[in-house]
Amino acid sequence: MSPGLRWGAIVLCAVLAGCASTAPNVTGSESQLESRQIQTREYDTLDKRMTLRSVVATLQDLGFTIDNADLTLGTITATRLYHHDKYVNYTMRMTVSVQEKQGDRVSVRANARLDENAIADPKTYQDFFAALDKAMFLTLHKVD
Amino acid sequence: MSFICSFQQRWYYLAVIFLTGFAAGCSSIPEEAYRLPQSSLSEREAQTRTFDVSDDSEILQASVALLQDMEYNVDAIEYPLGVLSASKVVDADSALQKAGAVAADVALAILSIISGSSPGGSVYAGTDDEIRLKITLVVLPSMAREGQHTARITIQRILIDKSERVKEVGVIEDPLVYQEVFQKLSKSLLLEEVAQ
Repeated sequence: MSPGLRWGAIVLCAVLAGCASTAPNVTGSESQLESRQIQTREYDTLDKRMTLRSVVATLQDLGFTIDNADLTLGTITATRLYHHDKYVNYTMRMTVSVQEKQGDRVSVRANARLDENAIADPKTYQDFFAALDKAMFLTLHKVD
Repeated sequence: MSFICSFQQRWYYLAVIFLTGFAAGCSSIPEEAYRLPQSSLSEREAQTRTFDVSDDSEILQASVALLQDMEYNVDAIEYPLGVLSASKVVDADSALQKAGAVAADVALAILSIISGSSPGGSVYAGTDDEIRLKITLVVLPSMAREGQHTARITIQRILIDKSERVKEVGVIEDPLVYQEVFQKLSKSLLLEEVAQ
């Protein structure tokens, strides 16, 4: 085998091995603590109901449609189909949960998935919480 | 510039092509996907109206009736959060467009038989097939005006072609569409009141 052919085969195998998965990822791939830190923000400005109202508004601002909402459990699930180009479309799904904490605080945790992958990139969550901050501000100042 | 390259170079190029292909195949987060668009406030304004109704159940009932009037199926309701989700599928193109695409396919097939070449695909398969519409309607007590309710509607449209490919996706931004929906909601409130 010529050196060129050998290198080509190695590169191809490495790429294939990188993308292939033998077992389904049932229990998630990220560290529990690390992902919670990236996905969670605490607020002390609004109560649970008003925070949920702001979350719904944020998801609408970002072009999501609401699939499910529950005040008692404080969860909202939403989907957005993102059209990248003629051949590539992404399905973005988010679950946001809002919990009451001690001292009139609420914690908001967001999980985002893009097609079959969970999003671990902190930048995505920073963008989402930046959008939520704006919606919380509008709710706080009673802007409909 | 010479296009003749060595065997080793060819493998190098092939590896680059494969890597690019695989990188494109694995989905990455579109950069602006979770970022608020510049126009978000003006869009929010166009999607929101305040109604002089103080009763929660009255405006929510009128909203459900509105969705039914507009021929949507209600997928989910969360009463305390005022969230209603509904969807429907509508035909995307007119009978004339379909007839034109079929005629073009017939013409292409005849031409390919005459010229002895294989037909290069179907015009009909590439035409629009259906539009999937998803509505999120949020009806809540107004924060700015006591004793009134605000309704915010967002509508997503997904255009699918005959080969089940997604051709276009987006939130409807035309303010006239929202204006028409809100006019219908006003009418629905009136009709519900009369029906009581």
